[in-house]
This record gives sequence, structure tokens and C-alpha cells, in this order.
Amino acid sequence: MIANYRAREGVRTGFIFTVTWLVVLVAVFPLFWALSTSLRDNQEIISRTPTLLPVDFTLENYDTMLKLSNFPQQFSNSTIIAIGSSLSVVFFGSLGAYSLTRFRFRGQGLSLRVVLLTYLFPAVLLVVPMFIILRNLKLTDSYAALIIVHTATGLPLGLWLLRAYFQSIPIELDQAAMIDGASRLETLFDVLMPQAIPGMISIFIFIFVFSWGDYLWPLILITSRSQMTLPLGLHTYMNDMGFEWGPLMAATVVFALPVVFLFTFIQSRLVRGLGAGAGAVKF
Amino acid sequence: MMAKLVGRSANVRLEGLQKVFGKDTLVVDIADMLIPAGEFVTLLGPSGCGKTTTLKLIAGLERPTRGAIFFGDQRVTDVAPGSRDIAMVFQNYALYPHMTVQANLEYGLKKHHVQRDERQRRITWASEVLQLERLLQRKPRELSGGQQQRVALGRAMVREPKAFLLDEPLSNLDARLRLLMRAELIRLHHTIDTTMIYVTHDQVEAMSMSQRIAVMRDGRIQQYDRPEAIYRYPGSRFVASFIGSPGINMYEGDLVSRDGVLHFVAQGVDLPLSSAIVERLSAPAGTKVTLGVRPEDVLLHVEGSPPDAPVGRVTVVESLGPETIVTLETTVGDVTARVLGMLPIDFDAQIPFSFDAARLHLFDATTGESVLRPGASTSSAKAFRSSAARLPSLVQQTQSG
Repeated sequence: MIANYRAREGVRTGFIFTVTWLVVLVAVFPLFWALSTSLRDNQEIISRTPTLLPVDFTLENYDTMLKLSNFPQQFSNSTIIAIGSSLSVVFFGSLGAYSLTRFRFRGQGLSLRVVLLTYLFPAVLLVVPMFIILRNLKLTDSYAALIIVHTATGLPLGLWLLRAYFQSIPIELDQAAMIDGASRLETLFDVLMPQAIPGMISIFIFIFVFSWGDYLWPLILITSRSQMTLPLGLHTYMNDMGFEWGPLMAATVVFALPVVFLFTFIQSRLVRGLGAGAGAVKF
Repeated sequence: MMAKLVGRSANVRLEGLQKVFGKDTLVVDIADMLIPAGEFVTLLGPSGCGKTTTLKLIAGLERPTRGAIFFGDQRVTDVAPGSRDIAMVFQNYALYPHMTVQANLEYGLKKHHVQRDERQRRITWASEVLQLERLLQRKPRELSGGQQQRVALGRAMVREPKAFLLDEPLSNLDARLRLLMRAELIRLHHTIDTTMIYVTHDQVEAMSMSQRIAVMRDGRIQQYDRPEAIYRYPGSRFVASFIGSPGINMYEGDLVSRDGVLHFVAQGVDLPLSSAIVERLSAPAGTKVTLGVRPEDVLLHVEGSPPDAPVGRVTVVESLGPETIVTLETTVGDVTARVLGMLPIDFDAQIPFSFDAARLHLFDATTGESVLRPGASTSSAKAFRSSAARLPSLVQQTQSG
């Protein structure tokens, strides 16, 4: 009986293991292929008999990418916009979450649901109205345009996740700080925000990754080469003359690095953040 | 180094204080209450009686719907909590988790712009009194419950406030630690001598620590007096049943006048009232009353009983060491008796019993109010905490309030 049970458990574990690794393989292989391609020379890239690993290892593509394209400028644009959007969502999300958990006001529940509703709209629906608004504000083709749009798109998620965090902080901490003489803002910054750091980091990463990889909004709002973000920049390797696979893949690898870094080093915090968020989605 | 804060402490006065939640849920309704400067006063009552809300009103964390709060002569009803010069200890301590003990103690002082030297002096003083010296660099999560409790007290002490507000600060501790901290708190109050307002649902805590107790129910103060007075002369059936462990014995019956003597008559009981009780009685014969008898006022006659003593069958015997709690099944209902020492009493034994005639309590059966006037005054305060020098000022404050 016990042996039977153990055998069944073994099969079960094996099955889950296999499926998990298949999924990982499907997800990771393109990245691996990009890395592998970026390290080959042109001959090898277009060879009809590709190998899994480069035969002649070369960094030539990276050199070309840096020399020929506007990569450093685009990298810096993307970084400023992604960090700006993330900080902005964390900041406004925290303020919103604080007010939603600490004050009672008319239409509180409704406002929270409406915020969520905006999250459900596909971005494409918002393209035209958003473009008109930003054009009227004379903000198109600027960092501000993308930071505003990414903040608006990411704020619902940020608000909901941070609300869950703020809700889990006992109200007595606020009260203790108030009795200690702190103002509401001081209470928020000195006492509550430090408790919500895991949630704030999670939101930061989420919005960073979204903003970093976004193609749609820069395509619509950015026109000058100097303001281009990396996803737009990648597209310049695919031109009328054909595809420059080597530099394109090199740019792709560098493009993916910050995201890989964020996930690798701050993953544990991210998981904690998701855990807290999951509990909060239930009404 | 032992600073006395009595000079800074203020009496706290509540005037027509009401708090309504929602449309018409009256949770606090206090006509008038004076908490004299430097006293340890407890708000006692079952959960939901409004005691914590009252404390929050005093702290400024809740705004009263009506009425006013005074610290000394200053009206503080609309003053922000941080400017009321009070400190509060919470049930869950509410220490700032990301700060060290030192930073926790210091935070309120920084917010009040206390100079660095003075901050350090107060922290050193508080950590000496509470033995926190070795814990100053630790975070709250690295401390035991008792240590966290002491830090919470320290955070209140360093503020040198006009009043300490304590919201069930011992309820999260285990029984042994609770006893220890109870003694610590009494000692602390003796040391710093500042006004302390303490909220609890535990009548033992209230009785053992307070100089005055306000028993609350449904937002109202049922009785506000010295612990001894509340125990000996409960003003209502509720107060009598809430104070004392094991609880008071209660029996429904009538006051009957027979041959010029008043009797308490119930099924199976005919108890002539002693002159000591009749002198204090304010209800006429014929009134329906509830008789209350404290377990220690039930006399068990193991050897040699009065001739007409009723008899009860022993159903429960709880030997606690210094005393034994015996429950008897009688014609009037269950009777719980507390007797000194460990008595060799068998289950099912038939034991004659009687009530101490001078120490009975009588309540109006309909209103629940006591129909006895309070007897001779009990001692005005616990001897070890009242000094001759302080008493006159206390009396004066009470009168002026």
C-alpha cells in the first residue's frame, strides 16, 4: 500500500517536473538563441546548418551596435522613462493607498472599482484620446509624455497592491506616530512606507519592466531620434536593406539585461509582494 | 535620576462627553468624570462597553460628537493628539518595526524638537528604570513580548507627558509575565507619579493596580470609586457581578416585614436582615430585590452549625492552596463559597451554610440599582501610594472639579 502510494507520488512529481522544465525551455530558449546569435559572426548567423553554440566566438556585433546605432542614447532614454514611471507609480500609489485605507469618504469603494476598470481597457483604445490630450498639452515627443502615460497605465495595479500592504499595517502604528507628534505626511513617510517597502519594490519592478519593454506608446508619442526608447531603437535594425541580425541580437541581449538583473536579485521580494497582492484582490 | 512627573501631570476632566458612531450608535456617554492628577485610574468593563473609545477620545484619536475634555484648565477637545502632551501604550505595543529600540524611544522626542542632550538624558533614564540598556540597538522583532511591552512603556515615559494612557497593555502577555508586568506598572506609577488612565476588561488587574476604578457598561459609567468601595458597596447588580472572582452569588426574592423585622424571602430561604443592613436600606418592604452574597461571605459550618442553617450538597470543590472554592447545590440555587485553607470536603457531602448578615448586598430587581446606601468609608487610597503631603491637593482638586 505504502509502496504503491510512493510510486504514485513519484510519477506525479516527475510529471510536474517535466512540464515545468518544458515551459521554462520554451520561455528561455529565445533569449538563449539571441545571446548565442549575438556572439557569432555574420557568416555563421546565416549558415544553413546552425549550431546551438557559436563556433567562432566574437564580440564584433556588440561593437557594431555601439558604433553604428544610437544605442547609448536610447538606453539612457529608456532608463529615465522606466525609472521615472516606476517612481511615479510608487509615489502616487502610496498616497492613494494611504488615503484608501486610512480615510473614509463617500464613494470610496466605487472609486477603487473604477480605478480597476481603467486597467481592463486595452491600451489601443486609449491611444487616440491620450495622444490628443498630450498634444494639446504640448507634451508629445518628450520623456514626460511617456512617464505620464506609463504612470496612468500602471497606477491601478500599483494602487491595488499597495492598498493591500497598507491595509495589513496596524492602524495603531499611525496612532502611535500621531501621539508622538508626527503629521499625517510624516506618519506616511516615517512609519508606514518603511513597512510597505516589499510592496513598493514589487510595484517598482512591475512598472519598470512594463515601461522598459513598451513599444506601443513610444511609437505613437515619440517622433525625434534623440527621444527614442530602446524598443523603438531595436526596430531600426530592421530596415529596407534587410535585417542586421548580429547587432539586433546584441542590442536585444543588452536590452534584456536590466530586467534579468531585477528579477534575479530582487525576486524574493517580488514574490512576497505578489503574495500580499493576491490576498487583497478578494473583496 | 528618578524623576517625579507629578509636577507636570494634570487632572483630566470629561464633561458631557458623547461619541456616536454611524447615525445613532451611542458608544460613549459620560456626564462628568474627573481623573485627579497623579492618580492611577482604570476604565473597566466588558468588551464593547466604550472604554477604549473613551481612551481614544482623551488621546484625541477620536473626536467627540458632543462634550469637552480638559487637561487641567486647558480645553483640549480640538487639540491634535501630538499636541496634547500625552503618551499612549497600545495593546499590541505599536512599536515602529523598522526602528531600533533607541529610535523608537527617540522618535516622539524628535518630533517635539527636544534637544539631543535632553533626548539622551531621558532615554538613559527610561532605559535604566525599565532595564532596557542592553536592548537599545535591537529591533522590536528581536524582543520578547515582555521586552516589547517595556519599550512601549519607555516610549511613553521619555515623553514625560501630562498623562499616560494605557489600552489593555497586558492582555497580549502570558499569565506569568502579566503578573510580573502588573507589579512593574505599579512600581512605575509609584516612581514617576504621573496620571495614568488604564483600560482593561480584567477586574483583577483593575482591582490590584488602580487608585480609582470607573466601571463602564454600554458607554456609561456605572460606578466610579476606590476599588475597595466598589467591591464592598457595588452600586448596581452589574458592578457587583463584574467585580470579584469567583463571581458574587445572586438570588431573586422579596423584602418582607414580619414582626417588625425585615426579611429577604425567596424559595427555600428566609433571611432576617441585620440592623447594619436595615440602617442602610432605602427600599420599603414588599420590594422585589436581588440578594448578592460574595463567596467569602458564605460561611460553611463543617462542624457545629446554627440550629436552622440551610443545607447544601457539595457539587464542586476547587482547592487552590491558600483557599478552597466550594459550590453547593441548595434549594435557593447554586451557592459558591470561598473558604481559607485546603478543606477536606467530599463531593455530595451535605453541609450547612449561612450568609454573613452584615455583608449582604441588595439590588432592586427591576432597575438593578443597589437599594443600600454605601456604608462607612473605606480607606481613601492605597496606603503605599498616598502620602500625607499629596492628600490635601487631591481633595482640593476633586472638589474644584
